[in-house]
Amino acid sequence: MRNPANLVGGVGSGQPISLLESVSIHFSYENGYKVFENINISVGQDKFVGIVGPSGIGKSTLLRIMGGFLAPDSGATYLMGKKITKPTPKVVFVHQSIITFPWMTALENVMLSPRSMKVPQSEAEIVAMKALEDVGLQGFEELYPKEMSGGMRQRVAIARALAANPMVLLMDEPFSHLDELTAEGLRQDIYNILFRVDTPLKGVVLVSHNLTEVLELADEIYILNNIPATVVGKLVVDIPRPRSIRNPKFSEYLDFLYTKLSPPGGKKNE
Amino acid sequence: MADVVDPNSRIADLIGLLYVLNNMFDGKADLYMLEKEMEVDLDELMPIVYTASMMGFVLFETGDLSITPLGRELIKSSIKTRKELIKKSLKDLEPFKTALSLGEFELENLLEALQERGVQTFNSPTGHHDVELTLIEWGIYSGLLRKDGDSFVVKS
Repeated sequence: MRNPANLVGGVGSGQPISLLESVSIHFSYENGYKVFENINISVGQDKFVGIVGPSGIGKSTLLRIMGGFLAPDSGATYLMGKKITKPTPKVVFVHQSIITFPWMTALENVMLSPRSMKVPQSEAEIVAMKALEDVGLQGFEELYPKEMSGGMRQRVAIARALAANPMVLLMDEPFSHLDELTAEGLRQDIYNILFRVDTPLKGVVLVSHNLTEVLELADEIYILNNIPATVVGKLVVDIPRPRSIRNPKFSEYLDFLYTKLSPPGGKKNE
Repeated sequence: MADVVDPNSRIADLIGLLYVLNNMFDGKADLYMLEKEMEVDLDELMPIVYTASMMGFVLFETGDLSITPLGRELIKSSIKTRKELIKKSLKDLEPFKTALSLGEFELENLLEALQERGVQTFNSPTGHHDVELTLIEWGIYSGLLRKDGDSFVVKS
């Protein structure tokens, strides 16, 4: 296996202050099963970071620890150098399934996040309108989720996350329930929306089992493997956007990811 | 036969299709390759292929699909310009052509008017929902229509 020059074996340290950084995360389930051992992940300013790993390795659990929703046994997560001990509106989650509340209009769904931060009604409405516009849903304010396609509903969920004015967005398999064509269209839009729109958003973490998807979007990819899980590799994706899977580097990276995701000592795991 | 936007076609599918054609196939692919690349069935692919072709974003001839200059313009544009381009392309397609002639309408009026014009696409048990979803997905998204209570209104 060729080793592209910019592949790094482990997580580097000594970088300037990270936007979001998880340091020496150890975590076990209550029954004593060790899930993570010494996991280090650093999200730099304006970076889109991907996390990949075999299914069941605990990717979603790690994301919850990074967002302060779950406390590790030891280790900590820092937002701009400040330790996170509980969920904060500065770090917001976008879930796997489409979570929009069917009895609420698109606007009401999006207003939930500023309202949960005690923003007054009228101001929350302005923030929510802007977030809907940012994701391309101007005119959808009064519509209910059942009147929209799955792709549009996912935009509402993203608008709701953006309406909290987060610094970091944590996305857990956000495209997995959409068919491949819809997902492709949404991926193209999302990157542009997240990083071009005038928001305080400074970084995105994406957990996905879809390696092509992660290679299309991420600046850096952390690879989890083994039991308990550790970071077995980090990949800096050096392909200009929009990325094509026909770029020779793309398949080189894909090969590298597959190799790292093989069971230890076993055969290549497709 | 009137050209009709397929009720199973979606904006995100259009962007996905054009992006894949442009960036992965240098603008031109046969349907078989596309099916393989996208890991979708032909049944899932055809609604957006026909719709995109009627809208002028792709050319579809004998199994070959190619992106048009308008299609290239669409994916390189901002969301705002995209909406304008989509809006323009809808005006000669049903159910929007009939919607434009009505100005303001409820779904039942539109379904009747479409029947009178011989458009059969929405004459089915799911027709009501299909036409509603199509009006919202394409019409409201592009800014051609707005919703006012139970009525749809053509925006001036």
